[in-house]
Amino acid sequence: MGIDKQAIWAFIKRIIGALLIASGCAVGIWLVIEPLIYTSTEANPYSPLWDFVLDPSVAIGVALGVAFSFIRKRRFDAGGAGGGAGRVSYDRIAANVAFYGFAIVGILFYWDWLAGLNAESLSLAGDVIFAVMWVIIYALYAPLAASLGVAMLRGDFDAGRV
Amino acid sequence: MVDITRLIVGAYLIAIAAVVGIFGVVEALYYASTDAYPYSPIWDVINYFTGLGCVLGVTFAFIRKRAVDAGAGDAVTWPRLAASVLFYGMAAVALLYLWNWFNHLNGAYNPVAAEVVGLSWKPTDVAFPIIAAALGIGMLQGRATDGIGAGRR
Repeated sequence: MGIDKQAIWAFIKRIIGALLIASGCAVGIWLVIEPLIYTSTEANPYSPLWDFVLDPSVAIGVALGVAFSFIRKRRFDAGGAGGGAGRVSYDRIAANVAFYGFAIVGILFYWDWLAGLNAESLSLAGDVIFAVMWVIIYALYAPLAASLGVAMLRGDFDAGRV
Repeated sequence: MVDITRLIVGAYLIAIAAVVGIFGVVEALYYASTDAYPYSPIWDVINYFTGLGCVLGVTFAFIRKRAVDAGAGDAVTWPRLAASVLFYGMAAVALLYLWNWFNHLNGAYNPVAAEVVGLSWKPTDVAFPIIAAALGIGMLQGRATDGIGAGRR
């Protein structure tokens, strides 16, 4: 009894795609809603949801996003999926934008996140810089993750169309 | 009906883009800050219209992107590139803007220093007028081929 590698690959893409959509939507929606409903306290100036749910989901989402967008980009750049090595196609542009977008957001996020986790002994930059970076990271991550997730869930990951 | 909606929303986006873009520059020339109002109180009115512009912009940019993408395969065309750039650009700007605005409206929410909110206005004040004007002009120039306007911006 052989293993259907294509079916497994399709299943993995759908699961990862659903996770990316969930993470992207959760970050985007909560980013906008939180200022409307949350009251800051000294102990918790922002919702604990960021520390325990959303930031870990972004950490996983960025890693998955970089890995899967790289796989997708490599296929198109190598001429697979109808790309053609020297041909410019919409799908190829979309694959490259997704990969480099995730790479930039990933570097910014891990810098901010790890520096925040090690805040007692590390002070690379002022609080204002870290806080501004957070907002920019979330505003970029949400559309990036959701768009890659939609492509993976629809099954046209290999054909692009983000 | 679709044409009228497209024209009205397109004109609204151009108008609010012009107001934000021009007033953002002109305010620095004439306004004298006070302790109560370090910035002009006119922003407190403009912000509501910008918020509506963000919602309309994301909605119509998405409709346009879907229409242009439909049946296009992997062909690269200018309207398709423009539609994608405007949609994702408007989505990111809307997230940033709405976070900033709601943060400003709710005095009980203070997760970051006031300087952070002040600094975060700048990217939105620059990006929103450009993206909204490009989207609005594309909608006014739009052809009937995609219902909303293929656009040439």
